[in-house]
Amino acid sequence: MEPENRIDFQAWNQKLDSGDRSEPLLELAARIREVVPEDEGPTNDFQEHLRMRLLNQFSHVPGRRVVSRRRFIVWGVAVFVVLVVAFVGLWRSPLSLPDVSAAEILELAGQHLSERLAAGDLVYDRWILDWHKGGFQEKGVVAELWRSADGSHMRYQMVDDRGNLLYFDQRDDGIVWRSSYIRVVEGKEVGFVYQAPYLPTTESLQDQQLLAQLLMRDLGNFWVYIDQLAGFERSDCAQLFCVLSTLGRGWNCSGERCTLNLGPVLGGDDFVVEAQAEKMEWLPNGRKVYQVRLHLTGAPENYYQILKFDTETYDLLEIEDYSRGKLQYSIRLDDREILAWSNLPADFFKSIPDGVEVRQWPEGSPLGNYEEDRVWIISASPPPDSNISGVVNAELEIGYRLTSVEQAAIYVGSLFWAGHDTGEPLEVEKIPVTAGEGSIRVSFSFDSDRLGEGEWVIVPCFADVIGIAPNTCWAGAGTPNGIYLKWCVGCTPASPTP
Amino acid sequence: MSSSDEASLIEQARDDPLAFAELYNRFVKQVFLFTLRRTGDRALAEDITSATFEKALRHLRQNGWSGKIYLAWLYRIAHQQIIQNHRRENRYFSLPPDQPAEADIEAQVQSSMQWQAILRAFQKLSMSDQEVLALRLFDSLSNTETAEYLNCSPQNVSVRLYRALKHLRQKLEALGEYYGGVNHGT
Repeated sequence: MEPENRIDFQAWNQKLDSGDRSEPLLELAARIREVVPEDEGPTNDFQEHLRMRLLNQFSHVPGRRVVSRRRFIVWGVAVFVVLVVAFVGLWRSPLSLPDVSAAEILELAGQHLSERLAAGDLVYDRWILDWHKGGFQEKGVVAELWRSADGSHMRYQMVDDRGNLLYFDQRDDGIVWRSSYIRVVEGKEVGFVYQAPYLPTTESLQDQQLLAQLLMRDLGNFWVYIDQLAGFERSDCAQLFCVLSTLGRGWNCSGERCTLNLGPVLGGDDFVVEAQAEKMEWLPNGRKVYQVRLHLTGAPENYYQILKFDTETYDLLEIEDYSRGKLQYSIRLDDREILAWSNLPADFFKSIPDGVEVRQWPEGSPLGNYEEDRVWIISASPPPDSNISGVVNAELEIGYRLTSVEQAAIYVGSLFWAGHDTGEPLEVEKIPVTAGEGSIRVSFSFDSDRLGEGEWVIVPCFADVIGIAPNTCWAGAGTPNGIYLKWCVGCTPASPTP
Repeated sequence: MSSSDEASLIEQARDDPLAFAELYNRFVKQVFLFTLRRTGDRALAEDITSATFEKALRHLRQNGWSGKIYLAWLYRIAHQQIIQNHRRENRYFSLPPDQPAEADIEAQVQSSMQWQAILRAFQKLSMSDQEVLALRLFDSLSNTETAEYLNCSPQNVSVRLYRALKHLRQKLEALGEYYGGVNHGT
């Protein structure tokens, strides 16, 4: 029956009096549904949120078998479990813990990835990136990765929701093309890529040092604390294949905690990644995942990443990056396909996006010997340990020895607040240098009244200018000579020497 | 979906979260509308819908379910939640805000007034009358489904429905001016 604007109550009464209840009832129902329409249903957000909550509760609610078993469990065992749980300080329900270790999950993920790669000619991944860093928000960035099974061909690109190319990295068996960038997501659209011979690039990528360095960059804000300790510039790289490359390597486990030692990085201390399987949960799309928490030994507890793996396929489905406990960005797998070569144009891994300039990379650059690179401060004004206030006009003389690449830049990116996990960016130009030894002078100003009280440290480093190790800043740590430059804000002046 | 399919899905949902998710997908909108129409408050309706499905999940996992019509059972859980929320107010339904009416269209104004009159009369009914009418009017349950919800026979539902309609008419008559004025031409 079609709803009407009004009910004719006279007719309605007559129908009721005649004993016909169904039609008056329908009339009322139609009138009511007209005023309270069906499309006032729950919002999609609410439905999704509740659905996910229920799925996550599902494993926490004991089923019939568990209930039956529980009837036979003696109280002493229960008390024992409670005491054990309390003893190890677990606040989570044991029911939610995966029955495999983080290392097993990571290794199985690595194996699975290899199997998938071996199963076809090519693998295509599409990931969606949401970025929430420092007040900058960018949602729906699409990261796509094509890889050949034999590792000879790869294309990785990121495009924002307006179609701007943010990053481009490609190689075939003879050539590599890579965009040079500082901040992938917050930065500018890619205008050019470097073209370089494939072999030196491959060797450097396989180098443990560079891999670790790339890994460090790729984990983004997770590594900022270490960046600051080591004097590296802040980085926002979000490449995925680097994260994936860590899977299935030599993890050592003790209890729930597994560690992976990446060895000394760039002449510094060992980088040790800790992984812990935390819990299982349901994603909104209905897939059940293991959560593995990655943390860098020595970094504050509130810097970490959560990796989510499908419990059946061990596919890495999502990465969440937290800094100071706040979500910085998340990347989730949107699609994965096994492709044949015939699915792609013949020149796919040689083609460059329209409007992107190709620049040649100088041949023969001796990449890979980063441990020999050095940067150090020879002299500084104000001198080390000075108390500073107001606007400071600083001048540094910086010595360097560059052996790993033909070209690089000396960079003083930030002041680092000793004992804290923050820094203050400086407006300082990068000074280009070429392979060899020498010194440069750099001047800059900053307002020290904006800085918190305490010691502020400056550590210069080399910055990449060619694009082969983009967004890196190296040789800032472990410099054997030179002065340790720190200035003090609001410190009590030292007593005058009598 | 046949009742046997539904029963099979419910049995699966005891141990299979995806089956439970399927049940949830199927009924969440109806449960939400059930509560919204009774509370007139979307936020409260969301809370009650959440609580309803959480209770349903716990009950299903631990005790299973052996009823005939799952939706009617969900409605009963939601009903209990609404009663708890409205216990102090001693009423079951909230009057929604006046419907916006375009002032220059008399028919719409009258229509809106008529709606308000129906709801006012509705609110003056006993809880039992409100319940049976609401299940048929608002929630479009059949006699059988209403019987499952009310835990009585379909014949009993017919009797209760007849009485409730009669009472509703009396209340509308008691409101007088609008009901008589518009429809009786006085």
